[in-house]
Amino acid sequence: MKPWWFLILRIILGGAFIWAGAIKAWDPAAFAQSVEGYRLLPHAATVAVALYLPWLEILCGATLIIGRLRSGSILILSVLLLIFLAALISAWCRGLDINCGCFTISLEPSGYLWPVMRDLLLLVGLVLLIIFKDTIPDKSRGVSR
Amino acid sequence: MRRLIYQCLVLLCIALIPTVASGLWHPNRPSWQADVLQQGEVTLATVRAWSADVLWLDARQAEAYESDHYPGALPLNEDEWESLLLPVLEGWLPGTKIVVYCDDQACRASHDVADRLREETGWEDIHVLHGGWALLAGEVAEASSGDTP
Repeated sequence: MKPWWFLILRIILGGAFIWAGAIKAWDPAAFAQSVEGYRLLPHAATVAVALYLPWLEILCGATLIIGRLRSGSILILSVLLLIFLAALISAWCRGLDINCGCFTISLEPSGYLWPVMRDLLLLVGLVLLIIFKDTIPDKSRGVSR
Repeated sequence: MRRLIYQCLVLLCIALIPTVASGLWHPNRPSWQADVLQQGEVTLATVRAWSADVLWLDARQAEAYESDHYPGALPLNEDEWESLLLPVLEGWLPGTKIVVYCDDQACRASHDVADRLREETGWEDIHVLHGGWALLAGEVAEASSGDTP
């Protein structure tokens, strides 16, 4: 993969996570309600997730773009996406009518197909970064290949 | 591998800083207490204590309402708003308090219905039942079993 394609992919993915995190960080109480809608976590864990997850997304998105700690951010975001997908599919299977709390904070049910497809697309993007990461220097390593 | 773990730990730790700040000072931070009433919500005990007449509205989907509902409750959900609103308008009398419920504490339909009803009718005495149908269902089942000889 050419470096500029790699950079564009990083900017798109990093921007998506910064955007998603910023929306949630703006109104963590509303995001907590979205998380609560999944009915997977006790209340205290829901609040902790609602406060922590947005900042983790923003931080990982930013480091993905900047290039520092890139490998770590790719791994964390990939794990997060797998968790999101599992939660979405679980709620879908249980017939819950929820807002996924992914890229908007709304009370309107968001449906499942598009959020699942979107998460899969993001995951594919991250997998591409994992596959090609060794062809591009990571700034935090301070070496070029 | 060690570098990867190190990077993950650094990121996870750095994210804790704004998290703690949000938890302490964010104006829209969520409450750690599960049973805090949200704006517009009332408890079942409060409703029971009212002396005024109460019009119950079921904001769940039609199938759920048909399956079971609070005695005397009228259905009103946003999917069938136009067709369901008329019986509500006819059922309301001045001085009547309205209580809306949906599935449980996690659902938002009751808040949406209450907001829309306030907006469209101008009625102000509209409340959302904290705990929703999950709370009422037990009571209805208990009452039903009590009726059975």
